[in-house]
Amino acid sequence: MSESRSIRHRNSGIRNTLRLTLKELKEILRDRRTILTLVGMPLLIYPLLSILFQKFYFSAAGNLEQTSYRFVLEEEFVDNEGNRVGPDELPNGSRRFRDEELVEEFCRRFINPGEYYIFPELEIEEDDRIPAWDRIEQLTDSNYDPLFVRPSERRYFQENSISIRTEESESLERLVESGEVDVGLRVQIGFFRPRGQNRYVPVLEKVKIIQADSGSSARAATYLRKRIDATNLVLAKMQFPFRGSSYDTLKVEGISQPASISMSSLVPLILILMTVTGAVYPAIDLTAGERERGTLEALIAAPVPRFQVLFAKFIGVLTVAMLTAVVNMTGMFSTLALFGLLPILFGDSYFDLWVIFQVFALLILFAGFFSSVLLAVTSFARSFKEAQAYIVPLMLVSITPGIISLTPGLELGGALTVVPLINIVLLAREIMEGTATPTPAIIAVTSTALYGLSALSVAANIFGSDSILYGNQASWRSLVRRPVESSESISVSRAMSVLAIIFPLSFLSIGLVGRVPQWVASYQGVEVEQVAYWVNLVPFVIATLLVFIAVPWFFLWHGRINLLRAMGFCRPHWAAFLAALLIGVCLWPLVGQLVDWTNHLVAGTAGDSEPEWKKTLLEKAQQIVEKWRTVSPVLIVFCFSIVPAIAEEFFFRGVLLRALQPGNRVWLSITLSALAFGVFHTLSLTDLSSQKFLPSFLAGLLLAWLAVKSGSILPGILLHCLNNGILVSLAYYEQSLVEAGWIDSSRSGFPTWVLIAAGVGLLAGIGITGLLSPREKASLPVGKPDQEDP
Amino acid sequence: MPDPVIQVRDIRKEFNTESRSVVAVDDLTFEVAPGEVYGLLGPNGAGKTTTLRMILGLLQPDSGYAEVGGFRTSVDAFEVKRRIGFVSAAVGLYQWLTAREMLLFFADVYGVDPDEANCHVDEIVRIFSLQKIIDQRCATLSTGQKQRINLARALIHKPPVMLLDEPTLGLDIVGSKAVFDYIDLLRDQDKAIIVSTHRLDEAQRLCDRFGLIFEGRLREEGTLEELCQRTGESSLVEMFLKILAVEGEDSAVADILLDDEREKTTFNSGGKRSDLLTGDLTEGPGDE
Repeated sequence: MSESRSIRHRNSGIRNTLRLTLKELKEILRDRRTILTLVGMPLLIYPLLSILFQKFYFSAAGNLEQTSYRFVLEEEFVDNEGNRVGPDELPNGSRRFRDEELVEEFCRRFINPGEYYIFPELEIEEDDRIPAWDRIEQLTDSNYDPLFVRPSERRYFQENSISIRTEESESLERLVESGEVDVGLRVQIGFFRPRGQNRYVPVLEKVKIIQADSGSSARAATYLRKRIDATNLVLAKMQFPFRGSSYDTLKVEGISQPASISMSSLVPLILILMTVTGAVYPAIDLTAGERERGTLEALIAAPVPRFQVLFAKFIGVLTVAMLTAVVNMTGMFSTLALFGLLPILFGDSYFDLWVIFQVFALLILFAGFFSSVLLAVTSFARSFKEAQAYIVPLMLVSITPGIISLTPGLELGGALTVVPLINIVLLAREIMEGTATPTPAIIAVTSTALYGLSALSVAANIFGSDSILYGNQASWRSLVRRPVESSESISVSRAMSVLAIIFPLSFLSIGLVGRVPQWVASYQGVEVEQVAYWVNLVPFVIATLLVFIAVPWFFLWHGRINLLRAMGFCRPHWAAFLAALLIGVCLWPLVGQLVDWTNHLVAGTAGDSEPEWKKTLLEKAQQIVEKWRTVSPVLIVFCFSIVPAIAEEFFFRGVLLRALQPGNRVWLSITLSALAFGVFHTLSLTDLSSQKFLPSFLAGLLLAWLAVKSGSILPGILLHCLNNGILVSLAYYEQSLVEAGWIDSSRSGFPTWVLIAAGVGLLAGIGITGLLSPREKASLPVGKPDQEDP
Repeated sequence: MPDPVIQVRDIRKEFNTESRSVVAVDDLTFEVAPGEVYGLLGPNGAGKTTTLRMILGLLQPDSGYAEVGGFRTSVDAFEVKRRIGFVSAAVGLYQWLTAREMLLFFADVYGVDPDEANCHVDEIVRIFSLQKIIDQRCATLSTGQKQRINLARALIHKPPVMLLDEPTLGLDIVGSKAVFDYIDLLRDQDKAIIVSTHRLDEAQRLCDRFGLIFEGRLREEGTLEELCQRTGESSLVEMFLKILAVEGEDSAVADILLDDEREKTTFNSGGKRSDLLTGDLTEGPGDE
């Protein structure tokens, strides 16, 4: 037995995968058909496309040549909290902008190059004798071009017209909608008092950009956002005592011009289609082709795990797909450059190495995703022809969302973030336009990676399985057929499939749950605020149970997996509950403090003391807690503590961790499950939840470790319940606690004694957990494993 | 007699298709010792290939087990695979690799040390006279050459056990002779060998012991002498025809075949059935 282990070990290393990959690459790259797709296609397609574009450009030149934009400004005064104030409520001693001053200030800072701009890459010599302000002026007085103004961009700065909205004219939104102006700007002006002065100085706090979904409006808005970013960058770099400005974008429907399909969405689509084209042939050849030629049987007869064989094929397909993408990218850009179309089609964005890098990274991700989907499909085929028959519909299916993603004005958000292909094309487009935001981007990337992983595990299950190798009657039904025998462990592929399904499901359910009160309100004919709060809670509970219990449970049932044995529902040592109790009670203040410190650290490096998101987060949290108080605390604790604790422990520690445990080192499976736990907690339709990642990840580590050490998810449920329950109750009873003097509302963070006590409790809990003898052996299945590789 | 290297005990496999279930192998038991060539004989569909695949661990038996060198296929699949060289007429070559690259690749996959693998390749090139073709791409080789490379591939890791599944299928006389020489060579190297074939004449020449299977079950087993004594027939062909005749549901067909065969044996009228005289139990090559 020990000898067999050593051989298995020798056969499962990276070296093994490498030599398998090398063989696949040798085979596929010597194949004439691969070379044809790889080299022939770009040689043919791009000159043709370029000719097409040239025609298109000359016929629609006017649209693209627009070099000046019309902006309209409107001023809005805000107090220190960001609330709108009327002119008569301005602080004493403050000075109002005169309208002309506002335009001038705005032009200088954001619209046209002024004396504030310098090259960001230009190192400014440290010279204490000259004040910072003068140094900027010195630099801009010299012959340097202003910041970000490259020769190709000059056209942007020629004749932008800026005016102030007058009392008589229509609202900014209407002006933009009608196409009279390209972009409307609502400029928030705040006041701040420099140290040692009595006078307030007006500052540009925030710019609300109102843009229409037309090409020129989008370009004008993009231009403006870039200028604001650039200015902030310079100010931050110079440590100039002038605060940076932030911006918001508000989109209105435009009726001025029909929006054109932008190059920034066409480029990712072309690249993706080329990647797909590049991947198809190797995927078929290395799976169905290999089976048809009879070489697969010889390979499967060798002592290599099936997954490794498949993984090598995956790397082979991915490499060819990426090679195709690179050759195509080079072909496309060089042809376009040759035809002189580059600056016309892309403006400035194509030069940005960072943008190209991001798009390329997305392309790798996409190629990985598509390669695994292809392998899953072609693994099922028993002949080249059969595989081709499967691929054609797949190609059509993948082109359709690609075309949809060309729709102007379509943004990455909501359900689109989890729709495969569309999300990547849209994200690539937004990256090229400079409008990508982190949360949808993270969700799009994560979901694509998950889909890829689950497709790969499906492929691994099918590839080389006896029904595919030898079955004459194998059908798609055999894929979804329940196994005859029950098993007592969960395979990684099954867990991955569950993960790939519940990730988008969880995201969509959040969106749906948020809609329910609106539907109820419209049904009852009342305002949303008047709808009883339990209407929010019931769908939340149902969604949580559905996503984390019902769906995984269905998969386990379908695989005839013995639930109790596979998930380790055994009676843990009483000390495990003690540890859970201690950790559950003591964890939250420490995690809270840690998050606070991290935020301070991040805010410190960004030069911002009170980040905007934190204020908004607190406000939102306050609003939610206000609503909680309209229902019984028992219900709140049930919905936000007991239900999530049971549901999430069931999936993350019961299903996922258990599935990851066998082939992996303990710490790896703990970390992976905690990562998934963290990512799920960042899921939200708002863009604030990325702050939840770190605490959820840390809690996920502890919960997973406890589950491993105790051999059960029950202590984890207790810990999870306590942690959530305490947090929820504190929020619920905050006012009473403040009144009773338990909480000092004026202070942020926790008193030192609380932290010390929590620290001691947590350490004790961790200590007890560490002393628990791992029960996994006792509870680990000894019966037949879920269908997987030997 | 030395201890058996291959042990098959009560092995059973049933295939379930959409409409019916077929018992491909039904409680098969036999063993093979080192230096012994065991002929697994039967018509197409008798369960020969399924049996070999179960020994190799490519298929999981529903019940029973197979052991190679003391390792069970269902438990230590890799240990079993490392000890087996597998030759099948259905196994192809990597078209875009040279013969040498392919042999070295398989040596690597079987965990043979690279230096040792090069020595093995040189040795194999000598034995199989592959000097002229070893650096050619497999796609450019003739059928006979491909078959020689295939035989060589199975030996690259010097396994103690060889499984040959219809090794002469589709080969001409020269090709078949190469296979016979190959099996003689393996016997000299003291390997335990199972040859599955429906060519009874070949089997009679090659094998030391025979297992006659029909519809998944082992009907007769022993050396040629033992079988002749037991069945009262003089050749494997006769024995098989007798088995067919006593089969229940197919007895009518078997009777016709048997009568037909006896008639032809007697009168030798030639035609389509004449290949039965040479021992081919089927009408042509085919997969199981």
